[in-house]
Amino acid sequence: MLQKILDSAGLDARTCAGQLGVNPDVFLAWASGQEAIPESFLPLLAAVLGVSPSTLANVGKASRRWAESDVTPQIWFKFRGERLVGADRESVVLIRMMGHYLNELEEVCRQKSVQWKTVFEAIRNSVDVQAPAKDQGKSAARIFRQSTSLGHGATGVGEVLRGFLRAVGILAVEIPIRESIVEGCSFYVGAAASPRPCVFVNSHHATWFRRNVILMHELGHAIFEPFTGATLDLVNGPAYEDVEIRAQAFAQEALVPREVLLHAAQSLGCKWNALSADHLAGLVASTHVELRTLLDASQDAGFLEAAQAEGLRGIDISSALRKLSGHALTTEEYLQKTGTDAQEWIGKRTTTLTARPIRLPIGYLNAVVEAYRNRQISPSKAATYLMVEESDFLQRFGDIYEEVV
Amino acid sequence: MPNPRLLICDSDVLVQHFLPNELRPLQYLKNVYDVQPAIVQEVDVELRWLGHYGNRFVHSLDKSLKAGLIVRLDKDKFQTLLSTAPPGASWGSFQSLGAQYLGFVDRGEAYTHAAGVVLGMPVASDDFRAIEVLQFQMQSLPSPVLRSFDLLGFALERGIMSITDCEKVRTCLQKESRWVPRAFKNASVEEGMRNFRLRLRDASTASSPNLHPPASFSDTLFITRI
Repeated sequence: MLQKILDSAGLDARTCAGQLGVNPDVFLAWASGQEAIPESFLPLLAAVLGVSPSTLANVGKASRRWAESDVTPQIWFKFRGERLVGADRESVVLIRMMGHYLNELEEVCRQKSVQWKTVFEAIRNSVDVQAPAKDQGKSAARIFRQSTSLGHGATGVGEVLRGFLRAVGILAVEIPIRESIVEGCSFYVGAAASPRPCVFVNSHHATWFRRNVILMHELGHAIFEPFTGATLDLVNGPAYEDVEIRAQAFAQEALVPREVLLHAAQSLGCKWNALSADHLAGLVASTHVELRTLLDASQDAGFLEAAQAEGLRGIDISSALRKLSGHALTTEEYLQKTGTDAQEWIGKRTTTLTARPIRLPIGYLNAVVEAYRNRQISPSKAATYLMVEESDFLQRFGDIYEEVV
Repeated sequence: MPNPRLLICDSDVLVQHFLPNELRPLQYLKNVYDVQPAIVQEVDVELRWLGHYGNRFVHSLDKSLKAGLIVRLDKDKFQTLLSTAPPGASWGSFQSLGAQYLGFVDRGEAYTHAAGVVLGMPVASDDFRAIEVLQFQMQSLPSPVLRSFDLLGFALERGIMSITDCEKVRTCLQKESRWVPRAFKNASVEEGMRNFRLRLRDASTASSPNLHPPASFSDTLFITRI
């Protein structure tokens, strides 16, 4: 059964074994049905692959007659597309594993947050399903802002966005995947009984301002398309489809509603009919969204005419923006400016046991380290969660335990 | 007090034996005391792919399993032990306790300790941090939990290994950056043993003839030659 699921998902058994930290030969024996999968591995495997543990454990005759479509988890239909590469699927395995670990961790720490469910339900119940896609997205964003702390104040929310998503129980992951054309995607992770939305951004060549927009765009998909398994956004993908228009309208309205734009322009003393590169950089720096979204929002709010907005799109604000916001700097520039030790900043978040080193989300890392410091999980468990060796974990975060003589 | 039928070993303890290729303490336990070293399925999987070691221990593990030096505690083997296990013991209760421990500690440790608790058997594990976490989380622990150096010290005390043999093991482990108890970190095996309270001893060495079964993870287990 396992082999059938792997084949249907386009996953390579050996790569999958590596990601899960299992000997490839052992994994192949499980996949071929030569050896039974130990019961304790079923929940993890099921959560990663998106099937039920009982499906995985099924080795009976009836299971051999099951068609591919009977066992292919919804998410993998999306990820086996021709334009997607192995690295995309590997990342999904890792992210889903992270989602499973986070569920496990929150259960142990009794800090399980399912606030997202209430917010999502409030939106789904209030939005008019017959309204145009753009209106649906904007209306959802307004409910989203009103029902959460993001709506307090009229300033950019980029700096609190990730912490907020984590606090309401949404897994937000930003990983650079150089060879991938995926810009962002959203899907649900965790066992069937405890799903959690996950929004993913490919951070390769995407600025922090752009990533904020992608995160919220993907969140829009997670709210509106819970049954599609996964929503994928590719670089230069179609933006005209209804679902894309709705997700983008959600992102824009959630991040730069009229009041935020107005407040930013007033504080900077901007005149809408005479915007310079410095003004635009100031607006981007204070609203925390990329220029394109800022201009779309300004146009929707009635501050700019379509032609004006179009004319401003080509303006290069990069050097002005670097002077105004640390988020516009490269990691190296940022470390140099703040005098932060690179190892301290980056090294602690990087996995060493995965096929490609990935930088873990800071919220996830903090949750693991806090649980370790509170003696809720052992260092070897924490190391598993951070996908590093136990010795690396102890070196990075210190040993708080005393040996019993 | 009869000898326990099994000693359920965690990966770290077996690695301490595989690295210096020193399996005499385990052989001695099995042959002379009829205490069978065993591993849960999770440890079997773990040992076949262990962090930076990768598949380094597959050969040693397979050899030990084939020779019967170590047995795999699978469902069938588990069922044969239920007659002497504490009331309520079952494969299901073992799996359920293991899953509970898995929230706090790593898979191998979780299921090793769970098997020890459910079957009422001693276990061998060097991970004192995992033990502290389980204690802190008010989870039951097997009695006792032996360390790799308890097995080494036992073999030394029984004359199965010489001081030189033990010293070779300690040197090898230190060279491989493996854990050695504090007492042996900057001391020879001979000196270290003076400051190391063995948790495994032959019943003939007990000061009192009335031996009580160990009640805590750090109590000493006295076993009798068969």
